[in-house]
Amino acid sequence: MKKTLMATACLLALSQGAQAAGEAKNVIFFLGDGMGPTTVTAARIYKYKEEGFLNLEVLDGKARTARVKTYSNDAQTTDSAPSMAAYMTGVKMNNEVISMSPDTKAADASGKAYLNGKDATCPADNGKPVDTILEIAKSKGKAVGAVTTTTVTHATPAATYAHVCHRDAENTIAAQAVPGGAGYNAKLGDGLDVLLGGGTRYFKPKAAGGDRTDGRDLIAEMKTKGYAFAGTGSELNAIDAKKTAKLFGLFNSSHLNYELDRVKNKIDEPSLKDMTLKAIDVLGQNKNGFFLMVEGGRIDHALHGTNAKRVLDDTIAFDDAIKAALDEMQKRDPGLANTLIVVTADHDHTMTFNGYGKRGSNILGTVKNYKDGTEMKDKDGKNYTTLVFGNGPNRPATRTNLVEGAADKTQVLHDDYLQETAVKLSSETHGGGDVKLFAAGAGSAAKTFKGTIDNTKVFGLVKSAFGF
Amino acid sequence: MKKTLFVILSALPFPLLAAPPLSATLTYESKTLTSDGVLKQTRFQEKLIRSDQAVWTQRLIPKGAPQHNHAEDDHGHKHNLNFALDGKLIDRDAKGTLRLRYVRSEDKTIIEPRPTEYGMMGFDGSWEHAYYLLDRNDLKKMKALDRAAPANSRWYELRNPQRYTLVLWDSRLELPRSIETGNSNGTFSNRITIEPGTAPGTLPWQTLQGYRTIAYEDLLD
Repeated sequence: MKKTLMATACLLALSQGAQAAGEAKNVIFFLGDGMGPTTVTAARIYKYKEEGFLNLEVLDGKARTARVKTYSNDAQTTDSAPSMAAYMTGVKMNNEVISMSPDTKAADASGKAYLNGKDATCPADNGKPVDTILEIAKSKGKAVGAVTTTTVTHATPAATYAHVCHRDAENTIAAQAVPGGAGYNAKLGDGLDVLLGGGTRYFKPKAAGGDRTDGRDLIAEMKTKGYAFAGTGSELNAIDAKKTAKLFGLFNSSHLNYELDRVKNKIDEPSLKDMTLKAIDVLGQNKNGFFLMVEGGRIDHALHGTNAKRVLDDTIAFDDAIKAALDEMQKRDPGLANTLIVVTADHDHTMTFNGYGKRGSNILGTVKNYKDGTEMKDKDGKNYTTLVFGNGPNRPATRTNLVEGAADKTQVLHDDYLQETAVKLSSETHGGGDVKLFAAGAGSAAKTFKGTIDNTKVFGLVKSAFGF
Repeated sequence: MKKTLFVILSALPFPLLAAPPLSATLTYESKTLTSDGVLKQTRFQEKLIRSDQAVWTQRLIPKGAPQHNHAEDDHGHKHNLNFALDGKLIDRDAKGTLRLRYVRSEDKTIIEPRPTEYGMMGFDGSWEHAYYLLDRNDLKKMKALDRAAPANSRWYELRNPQRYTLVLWDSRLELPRSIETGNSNGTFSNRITIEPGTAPGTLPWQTLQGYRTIAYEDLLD
């Protein structure tokens, strides 16, 4: 009998371990937009060589991994709206839709998007909002925030705090973040505690150079609601975030600059790491814990442009933000006992990795034969780069020999070199392959992320880790 | 006094005496002989229209060319990043600051990248390159040839054992009439032939009323 009881207790314990309910007081959800497996590998080699690891791969040294299926409700290859919304809500929805029910359409029967410029024209009976993990965390008394290098109204951050039938309605999304104003998302209670990124244009009226058609100045409204506001990196740096309850920062009229340009041109915008640490300082004041979403949003943009150098620089900036957050949380919560860290991507791209390069080769360079270091050649006798894309605008009519230099943009190590593509398309597309997920912390919560899982399942695992 | 005036005039970003607008047809041709014996040739044309403040280039589409596919974007809602068929407009203000824009007549849209994005879009920020199609200082480093040339024009050559560059420069129009580069073994060459014409009475950048301007990043998702 005793033996049976013990066995039952063990089984129960194992079962509870798998559930990991309630162990995470804090969750930081890092999202590398478009950061597919090849981008992760290439960024690793770019900064830490073949034998090294990115911080996002190591995390606390006990990182658990999973593969995530990313298809959307209506598409084999998703866009960033439904893929992030799946993580945030557990619901599969159609492309372009932000945190709404699966029946929500982004366009009418004729294919016309429910948009008027940057304002939504979604019919009232076009689907229903579905709760996001950020909203649920807020309702449980936790502090909540979103940080990004894109506009704060872009698909990924929007999917955490807004609901709309078309992602491009960034004026409408902005209004959902302003407590008490018309269009406010009441599920946010007293409002987001942190919102940092770009996009002043969607918060300012047209008369002030913005895109708002309703004449409202949402930045002024946010300040009235008690938000400390920063418009530059210097201003953000000057804010004592540990004594700030509500933090709002917009550092560009549109997206923030790519990390490469921000550093090279000494642009007064914060790095993703700067924003992440400020966010933790604000959110960490809440004794009930917090939910924070951090997006490396421009990785995706550089991938669409087939500009691998900016892809890798932005991926490293994302990885540096993760390292800084890990170090900060280890100080606040040693061993990450109550903090779950999740790092993943919303979808892949078509960047791929050519063989058979010699170990130690520049990942942005041409492929050098691993046997003798000579240039590998295509069938026409032309050399080729290690990183190329399945599709995109840069397919030369005839391939020429490439120079591994940086003298001008035709040379493959130049900042502005665009990798070659196989299929000629106007814009490089997302890829439909699975993405990686890394998780650490919060006792056994991280261990629940394993195997090949659907993106909607991630929501349930985070929710369960929170104990909701 | 004369010398001072000369120095002042030289320091101005562009001449006080405006050159009349100029139009030209640019023919781009390339040849590559591959290792498996295939000769690949390409040819396309662009219209160039320039004034002292603006340079416009636009691909010319031959009759019978397959229709451009408007539905090839990644997932329906965004966004055509292929600028090859758009008018490319580079202009400069009184301070000499350059601005790059793409003009898409099919939906009356002007696409305006940030200066930090110019490089990725193939614009090196050089008015000299945009307006003269080459850096005139490079001509000084080339050998002037005695080869027969049209009136007001002269051939220039730069050659090393591997590569050559040949330029036919028209000093009256301040415009190259031909730029050719290639390798010495003849397996690869690129040539641009420039045929001057009459500039239109209304310049293309004067017809953009009613166009909406969007940022390049509005095309990203």
